[in-house]
Parts: sequence; structure tokens; C-alpha cells
Amino acid sequence: MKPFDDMLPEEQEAQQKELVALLHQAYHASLASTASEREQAIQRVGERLALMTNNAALPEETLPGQLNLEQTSLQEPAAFGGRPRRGKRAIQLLNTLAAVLVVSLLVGGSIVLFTTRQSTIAGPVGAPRTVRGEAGGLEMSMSITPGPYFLSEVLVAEMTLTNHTNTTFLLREGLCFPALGLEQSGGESPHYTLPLYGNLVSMGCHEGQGTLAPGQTITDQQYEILTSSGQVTLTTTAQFVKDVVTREAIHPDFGPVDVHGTSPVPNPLGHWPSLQIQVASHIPSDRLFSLQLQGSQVHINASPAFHLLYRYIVSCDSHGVTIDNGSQSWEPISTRVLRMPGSDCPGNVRWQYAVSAAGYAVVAGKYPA
Amino acid sequence: MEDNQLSPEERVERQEKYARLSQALRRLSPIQQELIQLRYGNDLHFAEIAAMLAKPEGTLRKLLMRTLRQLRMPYNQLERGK
Repeated sequence: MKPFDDMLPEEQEAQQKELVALLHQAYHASLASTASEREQAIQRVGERLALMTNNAALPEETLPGQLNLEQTSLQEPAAFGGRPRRGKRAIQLLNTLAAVLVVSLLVGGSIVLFTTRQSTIAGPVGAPRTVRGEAGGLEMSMSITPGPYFLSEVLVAEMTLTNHTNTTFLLREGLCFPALGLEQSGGESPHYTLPLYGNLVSMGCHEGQGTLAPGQTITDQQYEILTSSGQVTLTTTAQFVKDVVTREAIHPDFGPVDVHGTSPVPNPLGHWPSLQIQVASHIPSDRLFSLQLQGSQVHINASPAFHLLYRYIVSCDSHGVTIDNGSQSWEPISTRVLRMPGSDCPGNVRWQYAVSAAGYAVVAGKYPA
Repeated sequence: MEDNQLSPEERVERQEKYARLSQALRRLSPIQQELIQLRYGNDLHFAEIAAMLAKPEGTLRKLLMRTLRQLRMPYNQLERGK
């Protein structure tokens, strides 16, 4: 094994050395990947990290036991000592009155703003639609963006699964399949297809398993484009699995060994919670962004309050070969100017992009137009 | 030590270790499995990974550090339970 010259202290610890060496041997003996697999793995990690960076908290940046200083530094120190003096009490009273006044102004102002500009502030308002199901000590729920619902709208679905039993359940989980999923069924013509065409490499998905411990709740969020009009059913699902042992040859020099895997089991809830929604075939005019292509940049006409979502495919034509890259799922963005990716392409570049937000229609375009 | 230099007993032991390792790896999240593969399967340095991904090297180091700690726990449990 060739040692790295940039080893982590953890990699050099006596306890970890054996594990690290074993990892090297195992991967090089049986899991040695081809060049394309290596590129795919790198791309997948990049996308995953990009998603994590876009989210407010980077999980790996806050290690277990570390404090979130941003949160704690905002807290006032606790007051100690005896009763406040009379002068201080008067100041406190004035401060309280001032605070009440400020809060009243903020609340009043918010009411005025939201009642007059309801349709132009980020996202739909109103209570989300929620459905719950419970059986055998398991509880599952799904909440979706409030209506109106229309073709090509991006819904946000929040799904939760709670284990009220004393049993630990296993769930199929992986990069390509979150523990909780959302399925769309029913509906009629007209339909909508996201206009991003290309041949994105379906990166090899490690099939993993997650556990649902007693008392634990798992939550997943999913962006879903409404692709059919009429009566559409949204159903939240999960794949419960059980441990199985299979005989696999994981090393060319050895015979098969026992490897623990998983096998699907029937839904312990009996049926999955579902919601029926009526999807209009026309997009309301206030649920659409406008995009403006200027050179190889796209300017999004949306207020900073919107939490925009972005997907793209960039195709590079070089030496008679086309390579497509892009996002496999919606990515949150804060910018209002999109720049064409693929600057490292030695040949022609084509860019297809789509922008939306929760409760809004997908707006898509391409460059060259 | 290379596998072909092992005695039959050591080969059996190594075989069991691979099986336990495979099981422990499956308990990691997909992103952690990917990073382990990039580092130990593809022999990439942090600088290489960081440059390719356009991500800070420190972020990748922390992610792998945490992953190794997490991998150690289930692996040890499996070792003890063998």
C-alpha cells in the first residue's frame, strides 16, 4: 500500500491504520473501478457536496460536540444580581414600551404587505395540505405546498415516518433513492415534460440501508413537478427491508463469503398515505418567472425573497463525441444571474436550463436559443 | 501483506475481515461510501479531490475524518461479535 503524503491524523492512528489498510486492500483487490466509474464517482460526490454547500448548514463543518457559534453569539448574557434600581426600572419600562411599539409596527407592516402583495412574495401562502397514516405503531405523513395546483408546478413535499414501536426497522436508502419517496399517479392530458434533453450518466448508486429506531422520526423533502393535469394522486412511500445473508465472491483469490444485504418486505403500514389534487392545465400568470438571455448569461426576473431552484444540462461536442453533464435534481440557488457552465469544453457547448420555485411553474430555455 | 503471501489460516481471517468491512461500509451513507472509495479505491489526494470538485480541501478532510470515525464503530462492533 502506497501511503498518502497528506494523511489525516485519524488515518495514522493505530486503531485506524488497520482499517485504512484493509480498505485499500479491499478496494484494490475487488472494487477497483474503471476510469469511467472513477469519473462518475467524482461527479456524484461533487453534486452531493454542492447541494450540501447550498444548504445553510454544512453537516461536516460542524462536528459532533462543536457549538454553533452563530446561534449562541446572538444570545444576551443572563442578568445576575439583586433587584434593579428605580432608575433602571424606568429605563426598562421605556425599553419595553419601545419594543412593543416596534413589534406592533412590524406586525402591522407585515399584514399590510402580505395582504396587498400576496401574489408577488415568495411562494404560495396558506396552510399546506397534509395527510397522515398510522398502522402497527408506524406513523407516516406528507405535507405539500398549498394550491392552486397547475401543470408544470414544482411542489415541495415534506414526508415524515415515525416509529412508535420498540422495534428497529430497516429502510432501503441511497443516493438515488431517499428513504421516503413520492409517487405521482393518475391525471390526464395535457402532460408536461421537463425540457432538459440529454444523456446524463446515471451514476452508480450504492444501495444502502437506513434504520428507523424506536421513537425515531425521519424526514425527507422532495421537489416534484406536476406532470399531468386533472385528478392526480400523490402518494408517499418507503421501502422496508430485512437483512439477508448472501454468498458473494468479494475477492478474486477467495471463495464466496457471507455478505449481509437486504431484501424488501411488505409495507407494515398496509397502505401509503396519499393526497388527491386537482391540477389545472393552465398556469396562473402570477406563478411564472421571466428569464432573459443576455449573451451566455440568463437573468432571472424574481425578487430576492424567492427561493429559486435550478436544473441544467450542458452538452459538450468535441471530436465527434457529445458529453452531457448536469444536475440530476433541483438545486437551490441564491443568484439571479445564471452563467453557462462548460467553459472547459474544447468544442461546441449547448446549455439547457430550467428555473422554478415552490408553487411556481418551471421556466426553461436553452443557449444557443 | 499481499493476499497471496498469506497462510491458509490468515486467508480465512482476511476473508472474514472483508466480509465484515463490506457489511460496515453498507451502514454508511452513500456520500460517505463514495468518499471512502475516492480516497482508498481511487487513491486520490485531498488536493486532487478538492481541485476536481472545486471544494475546500478542509471540508473534504473533515468529511472523511468523520466518516472514518463512523466506519470504525460498526466495524468494531462486527469484530467483537465475530
